[in-house]
Amino acid sequence: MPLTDSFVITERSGRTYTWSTQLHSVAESPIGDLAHELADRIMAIRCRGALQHLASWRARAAGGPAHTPAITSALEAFIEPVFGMPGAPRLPDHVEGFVAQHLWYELTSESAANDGIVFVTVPAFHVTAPGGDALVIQRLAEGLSFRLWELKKCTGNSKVSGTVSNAFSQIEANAAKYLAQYTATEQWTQVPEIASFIGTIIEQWLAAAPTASAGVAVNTSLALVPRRCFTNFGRRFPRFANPIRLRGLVTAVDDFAQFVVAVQGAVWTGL
Amino acid sequence: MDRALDPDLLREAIGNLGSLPSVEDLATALADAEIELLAGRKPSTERLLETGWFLFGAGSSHAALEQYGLPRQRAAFRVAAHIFDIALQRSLMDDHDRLELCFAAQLAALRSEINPNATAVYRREFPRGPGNVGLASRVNDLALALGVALLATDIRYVFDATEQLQNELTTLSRSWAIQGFADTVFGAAVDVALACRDLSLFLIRGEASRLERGEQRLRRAVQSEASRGDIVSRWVAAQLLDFLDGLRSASIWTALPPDVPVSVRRAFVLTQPPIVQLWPPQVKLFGIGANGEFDPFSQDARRQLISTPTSGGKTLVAQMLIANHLITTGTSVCYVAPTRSLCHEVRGSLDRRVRHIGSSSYADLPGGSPLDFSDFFDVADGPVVEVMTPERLAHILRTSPQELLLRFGMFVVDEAHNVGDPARGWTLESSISYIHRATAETNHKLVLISAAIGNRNHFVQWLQSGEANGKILEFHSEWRGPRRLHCLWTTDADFQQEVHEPAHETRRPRRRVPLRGVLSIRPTSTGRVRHLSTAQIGELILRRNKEGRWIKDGESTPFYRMIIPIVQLLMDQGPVLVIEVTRTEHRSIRTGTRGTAPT
Repeated sequence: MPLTDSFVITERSGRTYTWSTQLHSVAESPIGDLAHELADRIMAIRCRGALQHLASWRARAAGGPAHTPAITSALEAFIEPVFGMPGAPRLPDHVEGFVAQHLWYELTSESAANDGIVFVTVPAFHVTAPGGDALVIQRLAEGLSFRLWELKKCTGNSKVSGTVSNAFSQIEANAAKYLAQYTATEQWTQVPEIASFIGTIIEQWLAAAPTASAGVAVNTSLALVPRRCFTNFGRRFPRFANPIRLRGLVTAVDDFAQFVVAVQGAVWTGL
Repeated sequence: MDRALDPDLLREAIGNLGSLPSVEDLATALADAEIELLAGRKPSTERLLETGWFLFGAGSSHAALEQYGLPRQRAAFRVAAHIFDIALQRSLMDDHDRLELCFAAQLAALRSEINPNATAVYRREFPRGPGNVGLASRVNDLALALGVALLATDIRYVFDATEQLQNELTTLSRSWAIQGFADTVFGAAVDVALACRDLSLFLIRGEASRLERGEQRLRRAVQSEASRGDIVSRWVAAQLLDFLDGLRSASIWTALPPDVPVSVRRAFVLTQPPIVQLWPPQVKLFGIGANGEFDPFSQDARRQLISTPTSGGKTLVAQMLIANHLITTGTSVCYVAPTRSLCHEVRGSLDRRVRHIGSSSYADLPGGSPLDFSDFFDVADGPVVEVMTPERLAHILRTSPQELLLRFGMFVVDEAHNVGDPARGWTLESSISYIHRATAETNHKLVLISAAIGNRNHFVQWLQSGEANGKILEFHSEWRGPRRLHCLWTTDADFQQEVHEPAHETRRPRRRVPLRGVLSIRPTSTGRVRHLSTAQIGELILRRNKEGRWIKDGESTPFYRMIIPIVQLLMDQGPVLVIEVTRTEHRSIRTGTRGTAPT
């Protein structure tokens, strides 16, 4: 089931930026189904190279028999670092950040073909893993362009505006390091056109070239979705101020914290 | 520091990268940060660090290298290395961030040919190594920890850590029922770690197959689909891949000419401190043979003049020439050093190497009694290295010149510029001249080494005169490893705060003037001088003499005591060498307590 089918997307525009909302529609898919689908995709990524464990996990999650201790132990290695284990969960803050990254990745990957996306980085194994949140390369009419994304989650009493402001600060503070690491790493990709393009992203960013863009994505609860958002984007990044180059995204489910707990529970059902 | 703040270097590094600070602003920011560190404060480095990462990224870009060339890449890395070094000293950061920045600093140093900094940064940041890493714990740090250790040639850490990792992998692969980890999310981290082991084995043993395997692992790591999300491990892999040519070409197994025996290489790899990588001028010198010239190990290189600045690695060059000579010719080596203490130091460092190849070294014997040649050497022994002062050499030349030439097939003269010394130069010059003339038609080698030969052409002409084919090997390099920062430490008398003591009975009137320490720093040759001053560190006491003039009283704080604050301050940055004239002064410095740091 494509995850994007479960969301209603609304595009909005500002003078110096654009932003959109992706709001989960219970009518399209119950939240539990969404959680199970995302949990399955997360496990598929984490169990790469150990597909027998993915199969075991899926069988158990579908109500199959209990695993042998050896299989449980192996699955624990893939699950525990992020979700923790039943009775000993990881910090909600970390798990929420991790699920937010994966939700963004899956939704972005599904719409890649429509959006001309030819390259997107994969979420880290650990939610606390450092490094840039995401780099996306798109093919537009003018050629390739890239966007450096900062991915955030907003739950509890937080306000999306505050989360967005923090995201702006993180891009300002860390763009140089993230781009330096992407440059060195992704230029080894085996697609020559992409490799060659990535070798120039530092220069493009520093020159504020039209091909360099920034994005901030916030995953939150429906009740927290603001009517206005990202209004300071252009002021914080004046050299990039352009509706195409500054992009905001708010993705919301009914209660994001509860949704994350549901994803965590869905992952644990396969143990 | 002098180099990293060179405006031309900064201009080259920044190039056309828009929105970076100007050359002047960057130089000022770097100088300010260095001075803040020197003063024991923590400078704000956020903006500098951002510039450093941008430069590091530009240096890492294959596209930029193609477009702008090697000089720009080196300049970018050199400035980035300097910035990262400062940033590491500045802030408290967690282990992961420290590893990441340390790796970047080391890599940037190595790729801008300031190799010693890669080891120095590592030793400062991780004096006991980066700690335990593995899949079960600190998997995020696995690749970085092995990477920083490899770049610092901490081979022991690499072996220990990867041995533990291999045990862990064996256990896990059984329990997970998988054949290997390459296709798992851990693939990149594991491959980088094991590649570091392969590369270390190459450095130690020279096995090309290990180098190839290491390269394969790194390539697999950076292109790993399963661990695409492990950006840090893949970043380490990418950087090591890009550095692989540098690692290979600077290896003792590659950089030395092919006819240098394996036992010579092993003498350096397997003894303490292990030498597995050479510095740029050493690589250049030993690679001369590839250009059709004779290399310094060649039998034809009978006369050599080698000059590099202090800390340029000439001692190691001499050691390698000596080791090769001992093995390939069977004759002994005479090493001439200017002082007896230096003789002992040279001997200490040589001894470990030459003993490994079954030879020995002897330092100059205490002077006093007139000894003849047989007192110095047990001529029945195999080839040895004898380290002696110019005076000892002159003495032997006077008493037993033929035996000396029979015994030694190679003469290495360290600090050869001392021929210009008004007091002792003539002794050295006459000895070198004698050896040069007496061995004009023989296979004896004469190697002159110096850090500071201003008139190299005169030396070359000197060595060419009387030489049958007129060919000498002359090598000069301006390369210098460590950064330099020149400062002056003086005191400043604060007469505004002086206290008058009137005459009392026989005691003459006095003025007590507080003395502050002043550290004057000129970060660049063209920049302004900055001054740091301390609180009071001593007292100038003036006494009125019978003629009514104020003269300095013997109770004033002696200057050597006022050196203690600056010594203590510098000790926070690393070892400090203090040269004092008398034992009292020496003792005072040693026992000095913590004083007032400049503010």
